[in-house]
Amino acid sequence: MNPIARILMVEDNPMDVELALHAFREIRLRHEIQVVTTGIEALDALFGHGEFADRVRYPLPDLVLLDLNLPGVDGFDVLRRVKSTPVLKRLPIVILTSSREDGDRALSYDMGANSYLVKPITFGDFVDVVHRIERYWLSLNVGPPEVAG
Amino acid sequence: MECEANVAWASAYALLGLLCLAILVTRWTPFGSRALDLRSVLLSLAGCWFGRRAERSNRVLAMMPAAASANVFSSPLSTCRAERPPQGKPDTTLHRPLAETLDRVNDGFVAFDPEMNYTFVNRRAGELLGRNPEDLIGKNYWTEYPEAAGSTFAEAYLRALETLQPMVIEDYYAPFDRWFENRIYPSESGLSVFFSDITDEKKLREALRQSEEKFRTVFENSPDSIIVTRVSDGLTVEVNDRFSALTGYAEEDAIGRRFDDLNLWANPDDLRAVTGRLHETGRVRDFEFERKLKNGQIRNAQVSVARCLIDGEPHLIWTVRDIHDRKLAELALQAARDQLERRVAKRTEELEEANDAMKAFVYSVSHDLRAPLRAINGFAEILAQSHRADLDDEGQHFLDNIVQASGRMRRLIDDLLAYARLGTSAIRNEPVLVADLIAEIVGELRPRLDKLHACVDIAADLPPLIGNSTLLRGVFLNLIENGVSYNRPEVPPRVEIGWTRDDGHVTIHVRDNGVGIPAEHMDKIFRVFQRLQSADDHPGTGIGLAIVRRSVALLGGDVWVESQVGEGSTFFVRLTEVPG
Repeated sequence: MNPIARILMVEDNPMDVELALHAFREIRLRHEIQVVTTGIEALDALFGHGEFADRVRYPLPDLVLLDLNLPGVDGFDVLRRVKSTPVLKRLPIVILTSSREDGDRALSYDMGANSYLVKPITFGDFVDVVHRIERYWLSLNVGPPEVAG
Repeated sequence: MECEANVAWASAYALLGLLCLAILVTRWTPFGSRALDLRSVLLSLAGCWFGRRAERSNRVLAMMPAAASANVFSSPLSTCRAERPPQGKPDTTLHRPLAETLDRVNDGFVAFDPEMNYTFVNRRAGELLGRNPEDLIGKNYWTEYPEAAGSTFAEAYLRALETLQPMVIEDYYAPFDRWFENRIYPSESGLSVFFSDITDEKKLREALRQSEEKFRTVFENSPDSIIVTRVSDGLTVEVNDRFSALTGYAEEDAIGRRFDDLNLWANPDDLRAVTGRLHETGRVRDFEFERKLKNGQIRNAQVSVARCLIDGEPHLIWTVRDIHDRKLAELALQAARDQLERRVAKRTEELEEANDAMKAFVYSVSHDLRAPLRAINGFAEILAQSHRADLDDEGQHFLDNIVQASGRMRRLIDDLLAYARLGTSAIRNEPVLVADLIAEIVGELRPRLDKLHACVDIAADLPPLIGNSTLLRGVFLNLIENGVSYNRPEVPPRVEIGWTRDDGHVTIHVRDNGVGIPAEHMDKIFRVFQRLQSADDHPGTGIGLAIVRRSVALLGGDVWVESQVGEGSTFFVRLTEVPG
């Protein structure tokens, strides 16, 4: 039995957050989900700054679900920071966005995103996607060795 | 007395002989220095006799008062010849040498008595007249040459005899088809005529005259300035009217002055360049420079210079064309072109900006609309699933409507964005593996196909085509979706995809067994938002075929449809095959 994993979800739209959490409930996710709604908060959480300094309380996640369209410091900024930091860059980051644009896809992969998923509009499809994320990234995929924070 | 008279005759005779010799010798060019010596001796003698009025042969006429030619070349001469002159030295020493001398001369020489009987004919005259001189002596001019009557020469002889005035005439003598010059010296005792065949000279003179006339015509009528200068001193020798008209310098201002000094060159470097080139190559062609007019105005001009010998002396002929207006026109044209280029660049920039604005709009719509749509659909579905029990039938029905409507809205936005994106970026045409593409699309549609119990048959060996995979994906996705959507009730949809080849192109057809399209709507179906069925029956957005048509147009291909109501429709897409 896999241990409980931690998922960090970076999403600014509260409705999307709500739908996502509902979807996770639907699939009866065993793992922990933490939600941050800005890029700055995401960086703090990943780099252990600010309110997230307490690594015991806020350990590093095992998977990051990252929206690109964040106000201010956007998803690309977060991605770039993380993927250019020696130890943090191993962290699996899955882009979860509504954009299917070529430019966004290219940039994301260039910056080292591990996966790129497009949010379906239909809720049923979204639940399906969430289910597959859990199955693949938290069950099938073998993560990196301990990522020191 | 007789002796004295004879001596008088003899001396007059001798002096006149000398005179004739003088005349002849001056015209007697081939005999060189000997002749010159002889000439000077004779001339001085003649000059002594006639009071030094004889310098040149041309003055012979002036120094021939009637008295001097009196009575010499009539009977006494012939008499002398016929009679064998007396022992008196003057005539014996001169008689034969004179005749021989006259025979050696290039000009024809004949003498007549007042009745126009030949009294003397020299050898050359014999040649020119085509007669033996001896035969002519004593014969009459009018009987020997009746054809000459009325000719200028005959008239001149008669007039000379009448007026006793010497004359020189030139004319064309038709019977011989030659030109002659006659120098006619009359006296009371007869006529002496020196004549020469000047045909060749005349032809030469005529040719020269014509050549000069040609030059003159060109010179006077040229639209360009023509200036002739002399190389030795640089002086301007001639200018045409046009020069004056164009530069403002009258002929008097220019002639006799150095061409350089005329101050026609705005930049002295130009003049130096031209003269330099002249020294190197001997000519200048179409050299552009700035010409300064008399009034100070500067105009663009073009000069060509060539060397030419005039009277044996080197000259230069300068032809200057005023190209000022042409240059202005060229500049204006260039300015207009530049302005046009700038306008085009500006317009392109504006279009690009508009295009960028459009793309930004498309992007923003894509995101901004989708988020609320996700929310509408999401929560409605959650309600429908998790809270269905709390709703009554009507509530559940309303909820279903919301879900359905949001679904349509999503498809509408997707299609609209796909259509709007067409043509906003440069399409690069490349080989596309259509077979794989269609297989992929069918794979993606599998859930839908299964739900509708639809089946899609794809012909084998679909060849690769020149196109764009994104656009072609849109085309075939829409065509296949339509093919399975517009089905007849109770009839499982069946879509057949085949192809034919013609002349470098391949036509793919997507044939369905659906409801078909009524003839009256055929021309409308490719329009945006054009739907022939109600939303309930068939979930099309009305944009699918518009996307198909626009995409195929962007690929440079053709799309058309054949349909039969109640049987189905076939859509044809014709594209270029990959060569080889």
